[in-house]
Amino acid sequence: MDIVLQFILSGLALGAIYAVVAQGIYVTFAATRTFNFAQGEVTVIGAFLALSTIGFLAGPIGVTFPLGILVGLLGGALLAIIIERVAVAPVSGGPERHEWLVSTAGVAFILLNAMTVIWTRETVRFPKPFGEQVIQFGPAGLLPQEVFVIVAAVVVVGLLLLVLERTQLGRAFRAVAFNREAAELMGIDSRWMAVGAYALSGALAGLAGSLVGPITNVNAYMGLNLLIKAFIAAIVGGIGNPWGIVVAAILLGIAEAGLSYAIGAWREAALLALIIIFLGVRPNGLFGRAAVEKV
Amino acid sequence: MNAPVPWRWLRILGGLLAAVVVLAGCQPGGGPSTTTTGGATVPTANPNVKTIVPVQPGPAMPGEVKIGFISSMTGALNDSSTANLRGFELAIEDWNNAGGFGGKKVVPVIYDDELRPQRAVELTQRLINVDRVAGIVGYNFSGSALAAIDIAQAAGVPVMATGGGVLEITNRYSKEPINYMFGVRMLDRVQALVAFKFMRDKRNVQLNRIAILGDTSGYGQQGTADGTASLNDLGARPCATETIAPGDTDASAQLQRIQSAGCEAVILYTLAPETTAILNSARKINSPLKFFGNWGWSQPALYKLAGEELLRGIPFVQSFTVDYSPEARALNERLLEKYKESLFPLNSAQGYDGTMLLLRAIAKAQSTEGAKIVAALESGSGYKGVTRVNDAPYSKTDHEALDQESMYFMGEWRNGVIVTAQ
Amino acid sequence: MAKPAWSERTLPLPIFQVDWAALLRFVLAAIVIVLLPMVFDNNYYITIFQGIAVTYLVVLGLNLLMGYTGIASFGQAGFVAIGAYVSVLLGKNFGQSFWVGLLVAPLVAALAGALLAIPAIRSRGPFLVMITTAFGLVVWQVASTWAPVTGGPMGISAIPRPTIGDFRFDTRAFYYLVAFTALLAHALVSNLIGSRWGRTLIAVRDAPTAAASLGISVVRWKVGAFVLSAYLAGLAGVFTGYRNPFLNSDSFVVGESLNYLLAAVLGGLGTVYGPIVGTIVLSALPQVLAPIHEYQQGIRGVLLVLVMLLLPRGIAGSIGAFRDLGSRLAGRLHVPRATPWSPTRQQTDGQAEQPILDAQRVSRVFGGLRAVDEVDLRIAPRTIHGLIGPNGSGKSTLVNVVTGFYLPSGGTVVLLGRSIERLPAHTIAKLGAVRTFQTPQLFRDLSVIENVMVGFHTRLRRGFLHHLFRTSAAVEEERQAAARALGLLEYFGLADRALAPAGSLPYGLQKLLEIARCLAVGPALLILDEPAGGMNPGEIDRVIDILLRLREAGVTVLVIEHHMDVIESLCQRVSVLDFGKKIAEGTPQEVLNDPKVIEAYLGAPTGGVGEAASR
Repeated sequence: MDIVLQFILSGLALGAIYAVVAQGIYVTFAATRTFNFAQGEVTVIGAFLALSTIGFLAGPIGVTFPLGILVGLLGGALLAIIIERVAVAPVSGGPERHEWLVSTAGVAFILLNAMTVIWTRETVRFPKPFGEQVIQFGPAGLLPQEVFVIVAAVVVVGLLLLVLERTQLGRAFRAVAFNREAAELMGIDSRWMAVGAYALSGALAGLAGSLVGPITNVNAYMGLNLLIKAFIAAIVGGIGNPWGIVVAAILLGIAEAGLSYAIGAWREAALLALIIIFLGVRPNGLFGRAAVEKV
Repeated sequence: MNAPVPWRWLRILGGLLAAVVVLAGCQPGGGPSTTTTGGATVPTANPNVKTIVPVQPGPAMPGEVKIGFISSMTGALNDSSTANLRGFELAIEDWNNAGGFGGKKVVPVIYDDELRPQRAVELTQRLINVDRVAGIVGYNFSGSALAAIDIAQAAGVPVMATGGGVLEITNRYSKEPINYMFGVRMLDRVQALVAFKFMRDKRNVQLNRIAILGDTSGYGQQGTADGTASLNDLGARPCATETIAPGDTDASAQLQRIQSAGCEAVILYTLAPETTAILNSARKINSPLKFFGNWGWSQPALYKLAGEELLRGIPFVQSFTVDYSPEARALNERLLEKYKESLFPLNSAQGYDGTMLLLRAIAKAQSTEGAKIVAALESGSGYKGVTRVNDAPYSKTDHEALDQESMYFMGEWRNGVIVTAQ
Repeated sequence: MAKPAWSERTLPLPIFQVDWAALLRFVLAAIVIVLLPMVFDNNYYITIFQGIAVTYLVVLGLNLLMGYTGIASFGQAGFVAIGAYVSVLLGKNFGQSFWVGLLVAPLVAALAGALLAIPAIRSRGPFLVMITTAFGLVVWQVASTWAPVTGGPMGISAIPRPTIGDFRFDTRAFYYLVAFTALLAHALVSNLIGSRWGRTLIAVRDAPTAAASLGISVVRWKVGAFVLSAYLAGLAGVFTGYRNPFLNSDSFVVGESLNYLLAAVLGGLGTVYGPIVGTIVLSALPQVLAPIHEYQQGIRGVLLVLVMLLLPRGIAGSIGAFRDLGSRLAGRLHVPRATPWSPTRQQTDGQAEQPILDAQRVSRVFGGLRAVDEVDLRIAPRTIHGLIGPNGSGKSTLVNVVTGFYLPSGGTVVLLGRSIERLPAHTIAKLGAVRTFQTPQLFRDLSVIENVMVGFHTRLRRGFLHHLFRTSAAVEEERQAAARALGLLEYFGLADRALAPAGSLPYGLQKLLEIARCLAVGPALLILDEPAGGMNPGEIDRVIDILLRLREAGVTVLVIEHHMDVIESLCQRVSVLDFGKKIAEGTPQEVLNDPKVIEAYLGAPTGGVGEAASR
């Protein structure tokens, strides 16, 4: 029982990070039917930017950490805007074409190389703003940063969903996501929506990077794993449904922790096989609804 | 639909920026001045630089002497591979500063296998058949080494493995008339013996209550296999065997299972990030398990990542510290001076000694012919290196330089330096 | 994009014949393959050439899957791994030779492809990306975790070189083996692409719904493409396994799958020479960049972005010379003399008394909306039956139910005495009910004549092996199909456009072509969804003229139309739907003067329907 509680808690912390990165995949996919293959690298760059900011300011961590998060978030957004303008908008020819995939994969290579040149090849320690005293929840424990990540993820995803559902901008965004041509006829500029969506996804990635940094520390090569996990969460959640993505991300985190306990080394293979079977049964994800094909 | 896209300038700027980041970085500031010839980077002589070990100028050779280097500077092993490369570069630099071979400089040829075995095969072919090197140093990634060494063996080109700990590299051709494979690296089998004996004798841990926790990469799987074999040699069996996937940040599940199997201690075959994650998880679940490890724990990155508190009192196998000898101190100073960071001194030391041993053998053989170099390597060196290589590291049957239990001791981190564990 | 040269060709042209140009290219390629290791006489270069040939096999299959069928796969390395491990383990554990592995292992990979296809073809876009990525990762994870069998990352050592008798395949001989296998695979796949196979795959990709409406089982063809691409990847796997004496799981990481995909897209998807161009570029790049190892990754990235910016359809897709060289239209299809077309026996032979179609109490519910509500529809043979009603009255939904695109929520549908309400669309098409769409769904990238040839799909008998080896039987069948297609186009006055890409036709002609394509199936019942919609008056007259000729020839037609003049001049009987219910049925005159119908159209019982509906 203790173990179950522990892996549920550990899974929550993992899932929270996946949820934030996965929302970034959702917003770009909804607005442009593309996603950024370099999303993982943007996440890591966010972490590096936060780290550099903290190191540069050299103040008390309570002050520099929020500033670091801010820089990571803005840096991620700026980077994603550049990616959208340079590598996505000029080449993307719709969902069934694949040019954007190659160009954003190219961007991933560039960013990876740039990180090892600008920062380092080493895994770098990220300071622990909340210390390392384990917080006990009954028999199980979490690091303070893990608790912070869960709280922050709830706030961020909550804010995002609030904006999407309650504001003029969010409505315009959902209109583009629902039907781009119709939205354009209504006077919504889908190009700006695409830029905005990429900026938002970059910001989410940068934020996720600076949140996850204190837990994982930072390594230039950790982006791919994050991207794959976030992508699984986005897909299993049914990519058009932000709430579904949150649920899927948390389930994924818990499944990962649980399978780790149950079958150790076979975890990844089993998890992925389960996902293939699951998508075979529900081709539109957990909460995605099959669109009735208009003939 | 196709109105002019806004921010055209931004697109152009972005493209330029990307190109600048990548291309302008080609001359990193603070690095040594280099010249490029035929795709190889040659350090220019600097008479003011003292060599790390005393170097005699080699005899003149017909034609250029080229030495190849292959390792995985891209991917998960990039830090240890790069550290390895730096040792290689410093050895070549020292050799050339001392006069090279009859005044002619040794030409290094450096390739990155990107952690892909097939790439290592191609690049080994290239070193041997296009660059025509006299020997190859590196192969920090055992997957690459195991795939590529067949080519070197078949072509009769000596290989000096300066990373990884897989015995098969030097064992595979031990029955052949000439075995071209040599190693200067910490062997997992021997280290495990040293570590288990230490735990048994100094920490009162029963051998049958030692568990093994390795990562799922080749490094962890090989370590786990070697650790198990060493335990068997001591008449015991692992009390539990667990794995962690690279990149995982939580190992509470594995530790819980190890505990419920009744184990007392765990040897880790993991790299710095996962080691840190495991130690964090142990604290999270208040685990009473005693940890210990191998050479990997001497990586400065681990100390920076995990911090003094987590690492306190954890013993690990060592053979080298940056200040245990004048040569080691000299190497560390040169590394800091040239590269501004201390990436993984042990791997740099192995790279340095492996390269030096190879160059000295070429000088001794007065030839770049593989068989003659091998004969020279096997006939004793009289070399005192940065690591604990002795003056006769190799013989006809022994191709590993660091294979004596007496070369290892147990160390632990204290105040940022490695001290002998009691 | 239209190639004027095609439409300017005077018809009729010579019939199918030996493709001398292709044969010449094949021989030239063989000579290059033989000469390469002699010119670059060095094991390093030969290793690189080996790598190009092995990679090409994978990319060739991926192009078939992505380029021609429109299914992206991020998991090809998984099939390669299966091919490699099956063949090597057959050798290591069961003492089988390389050659047994070469036969068996690709088949195992193909089987895995068939299994993966089950979930994969049900999903689209990002879901498909996920499934294939997960597949590649699963295989890699199993290979690396199941160490007692696969050796995991520590690998399998001392894999012997293939031998024949006393001959042992050294690096060079092995290169010849791989390269000629790749060349043979290229030739066979080119045969397929140039045949009915390629045509059908493109049809499935361009307009799956329309393909199904012509009797093509979209699922079966997608699975077929999957299996074929998995087979080719498995074949590459066998060579990967035996290339070096050592094999380990690190050779099959997710990055390898990405590399195959990059090569396919970089070269140009859906082009014949794209895969080879992409493979060579992507294989050569690391070799060129190897000396600057610190920046090679970034430079590779910059190049990928630049190529996509400058050559968005890939290298071969953007450079005219390559595109034309491999074009299906230019290379393969010489249009023969037309076989005059007239409606066949099946179309005119409807049993005189029984209705062709008998739908009873058919319903279709979406959520709470009863889009079609207990409608009866009976269509007598040799008549043109009209189906009218205001927008949203359920006409298209009814047609979708009858043709199998929607499952009915209730009711029965009988076609020529057979109950069809549970059958899939392509089976119903085979049984004889074939339809057009409100907006024409042509196979845009196929020529006009090939669009019609797709319509012959259900009647063509030569199968996979015939087309793979381009047997004279297959060529002859294709020739006859082309001749009949041309005849059908002449009937429709479209023959002068036979070789133009269908997507380049003006809208009205696209609708005509769609009708022609339906007739190629030889339907007992032709269902036309607004054939005159969006047409100018001249084109409308042309449609009316053609439909009248069809009626005289005895073809049974169900037509949905808003143009009441079309209804009046064509139909013997008309059914009227409103809010999903049938509110009237009779001759055009009876129906158009029915007050209920007038009310449905105008909301008030005044005026005539004619003016209101054809506004």
